[in-house]
Amino acid sequence: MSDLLHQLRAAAWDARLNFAPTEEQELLTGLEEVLVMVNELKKELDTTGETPLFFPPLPLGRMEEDRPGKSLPREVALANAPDAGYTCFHVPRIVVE
Amino acid sequence: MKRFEPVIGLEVHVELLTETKLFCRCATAFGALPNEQVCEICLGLPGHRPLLNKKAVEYAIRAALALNCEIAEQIDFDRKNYFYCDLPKGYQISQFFNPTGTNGYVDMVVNGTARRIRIRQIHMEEDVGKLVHQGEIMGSATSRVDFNRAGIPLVEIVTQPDLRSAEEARIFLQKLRTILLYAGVSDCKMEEGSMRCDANVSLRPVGSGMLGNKTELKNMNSFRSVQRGIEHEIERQEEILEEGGHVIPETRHFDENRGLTRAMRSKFQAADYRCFPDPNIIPVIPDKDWVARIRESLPEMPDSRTARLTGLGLPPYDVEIITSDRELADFYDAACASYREAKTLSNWIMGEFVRLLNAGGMKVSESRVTPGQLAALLALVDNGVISGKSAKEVFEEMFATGKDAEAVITEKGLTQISDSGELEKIANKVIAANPAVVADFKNGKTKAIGFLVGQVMKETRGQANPQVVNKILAEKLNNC
Amino acid sequence: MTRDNLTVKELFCLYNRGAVTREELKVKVPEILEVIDNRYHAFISRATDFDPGVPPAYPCVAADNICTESLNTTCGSEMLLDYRSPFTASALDKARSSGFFLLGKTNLDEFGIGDCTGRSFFKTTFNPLSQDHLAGSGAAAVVAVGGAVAGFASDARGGLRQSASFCGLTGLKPTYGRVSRRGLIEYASSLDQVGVITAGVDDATFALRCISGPDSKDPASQESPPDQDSTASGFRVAVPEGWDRVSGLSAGVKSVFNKTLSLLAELKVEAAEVPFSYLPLVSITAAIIGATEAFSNLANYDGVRFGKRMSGDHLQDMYVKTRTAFFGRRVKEFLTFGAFVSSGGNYREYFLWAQQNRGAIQRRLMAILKDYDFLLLPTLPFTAPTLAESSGLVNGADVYTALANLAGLPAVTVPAGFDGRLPVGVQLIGRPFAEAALLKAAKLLEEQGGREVVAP
Repeated sequence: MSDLLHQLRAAAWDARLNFAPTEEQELLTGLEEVLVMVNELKKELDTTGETPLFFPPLPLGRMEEDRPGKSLPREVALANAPDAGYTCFHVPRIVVE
Repeated sequence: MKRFEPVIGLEVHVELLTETKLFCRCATAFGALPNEQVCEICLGLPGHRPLLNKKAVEYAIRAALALNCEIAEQIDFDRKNYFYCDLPKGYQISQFFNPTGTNGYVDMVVNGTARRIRIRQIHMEEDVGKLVHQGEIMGSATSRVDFNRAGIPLVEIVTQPDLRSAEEARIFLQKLRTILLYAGVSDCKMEEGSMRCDANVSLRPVGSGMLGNKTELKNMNSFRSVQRGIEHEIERQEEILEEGGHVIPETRHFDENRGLTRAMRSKFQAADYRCFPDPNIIPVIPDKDWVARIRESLPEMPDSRTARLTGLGLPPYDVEIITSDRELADFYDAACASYREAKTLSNWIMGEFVRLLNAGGMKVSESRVTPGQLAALLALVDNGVISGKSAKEVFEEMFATGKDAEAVITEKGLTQISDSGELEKIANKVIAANPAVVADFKNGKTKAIGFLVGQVMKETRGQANPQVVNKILAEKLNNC
Repeated sequence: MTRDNLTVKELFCLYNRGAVTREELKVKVPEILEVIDNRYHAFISRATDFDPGVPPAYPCVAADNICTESLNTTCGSEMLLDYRSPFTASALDKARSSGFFLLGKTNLDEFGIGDCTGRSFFKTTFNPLSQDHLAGSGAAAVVAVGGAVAGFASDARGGLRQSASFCGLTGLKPTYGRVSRRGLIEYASSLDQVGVITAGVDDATFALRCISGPDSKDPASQESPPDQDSTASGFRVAVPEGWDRVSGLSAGVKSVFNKTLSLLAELKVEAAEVPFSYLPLVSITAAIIGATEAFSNLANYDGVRFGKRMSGDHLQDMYVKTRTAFFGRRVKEFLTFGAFVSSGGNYREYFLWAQQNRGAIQRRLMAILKDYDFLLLPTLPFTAPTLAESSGLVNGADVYTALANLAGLPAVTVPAGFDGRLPVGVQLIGRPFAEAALLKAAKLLEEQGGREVVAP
């Protein structure tokens, strides 16, 4: 298995996704193209010394006072759950992977 | 002579005492029914926006200052991405790149030696939800999830690997708890989970500067269990290294009942968290005035108190007991303001006061007796108004009722007899009734006077001032 | 014109003047929407009660990734098939209190992730101007046929502006922080912004005013500073060099853009090409950032608290089965791409590189905007695609639009001409929070360019 395919599978697992073999192959091909393009761009335009910007600059953020507000009624909180009891969300058994 | 020395670092999670969660205004109060304190934010529902709790930031800064840290110029948050059912959003909001506090330290004394443990960082993060199982987690067909705890603000305090024994680790943790209690940011109850400790343990050849492979030790739920868990892990690693093996870096679980550590969840250690700045949380600059006000509002911390109380002439043991609890130390200081006999005061506080508090399962703040009332009582003893023995009885009454010492003394008729005229009459009677003891005294057994003092006290039902009685008896015996 | 041929927009207009009764409106509007939906596949859900209340009322639609308590919010995904949000997006709350009446929720690329084709799990929306082509979004299709005054939608890499351009409409992406994002189910938090699609600049100006401003529930939303309108005595426009060397730029788009430049020259507006070397970085940078944030933002679709679940042998197995079954392929590829570029081994190489690119781009744009009032660019290199035209991970549709998202700047597209039967838009990008000036300039382009913007 190529290193890139190995990385792609690790990424898919980390996103908790699974691809059929043909889908995987197409994604791999697409990814290879993108990476080639990135390498070309890096040769043309050097941004290595640039300060990264993780979100657009805004005036400062705000904080809220520590005063309790309304929570959701429990039945509303549980209403959209695929599996819930009267008080809790239910999840399948947890095993050592 | 051991060939290896342990190198230990701790990661301590502490729940902050805010009323609401870190990024929403759901209550943090203990005791709610499952999923009653949840909203779109702490459940991670689509379209939610986090709303940073100012008090949580204040408490984190407060804790950082109490641990002598430098405060970050900007408070910002990052996402730590992983999937687990107690984590609603699929990421935990934490401070990965820019912790609130860095480069702090905690000073402590271990077996008479001063030690400084460096604090690498203190950062805020969200707590996760709670899993409820029928039986064992791994055996249960389904688990139930309660998200009331998800989003409660925590600070994680990370030490440098400066600790050299399990005992040091335990003492450090207790000192850390004292400091955080002083700072008032957490109730630090290990048994209830508001303080949790993981330990990174490795061994290296004595004198070596290298670090060996480390294991991360979890599930230690008390100070004792921290010490024991680390002891077991050190022993385990020692055995491996002595046999020429090498330690696998992994997460291990301390099994309190069996007294051993075992490896757990291997996949999670390899997790790739892809930490990046949370684009939904705009950074906040803690302005200098705010930080200065937080600094000023901190009480005098344990080390400074220790130095001051030691300066008053108190022995180290007394200082340690009194400073271990901020309320107790405050009580001591307040009483000390009007009563100058430092050691007498510490005897009373550590003895009677703590005994009565413990008997009633009370905290210092719940005491009905004020520091001023205790000081007044002790002054009455010094002035000979009552005996030390009666004073204990008086104090019990004061503790129970909150009344002043004078009122209790009057009620109980405990005023000490210091009137030498009356005492002389009784002394004469006692001398006359015990000729053999008097003869012993005359023959050089000076200690015999004690018996006679006791007799006078008995006659007065303990109300005589023993010093005055002593003086009168000595005069009479020497003169007859 | 008989009343039978009136659009929804016109019916509401008459209602506001008292010329149409509430009862008539309640009967006619759903009938028209039914026709629009059957013809163009624009809606995912429609309102059940069409009582607009006291006039004035302005009909609007919202993309189905904006939360509403009254209608389901699906993001165009099977994952959220029956999802009902317990809260309404703040922008829609604001719109409602200004008189906007929500007719329904419109189709979009699943979770807004795509190349603005308007293809969701449910349907594909067709372009009212040419039914062989895609509309880009349900909101654009509805507005294009007079079904609503405004379509509220999100714009992460340019989707809103792209679909507006495909349908010959005005599309405004406000400054990052101008409009509350609470209740927007965005995939890329640092790029996404709620904006508006309208038939013209005036409607956009009105709709923006209705949804702008600080929201106590979105700390990123800002008090709009007083508009710094520097354009009273004319304005200066910068055209980033290299705009015409973008791969995939069609001759038709190029020609319309050149005509716009000539028009500006006629109007004595100074338009100068300025050095800008970063255009080739825009698409890939926005894709890497968008995919990484999507990987993280969409991690809450885990089958526990909401959404669909596929049963599995155990917890982690359930996660994989659920996400594999209920996300569409395009989304899955994008999320995996995001996980790939941000993994421990690739973080510096790709994710951090993209953020450095963004820093460089933002600083360069701000430097240009010191000397010029606006940047002018085509909206897209091409016109509305057909169903058959598909694309890979990075297709360059957002080469011009994503500039504004990367830097958080306001941008507006207005129709400027046609390539064959299909409209071509041009885009103005302005200074932060300078929407008033931006819309004024857009209005000028609309008035002057509008002469040619009549479907052949």
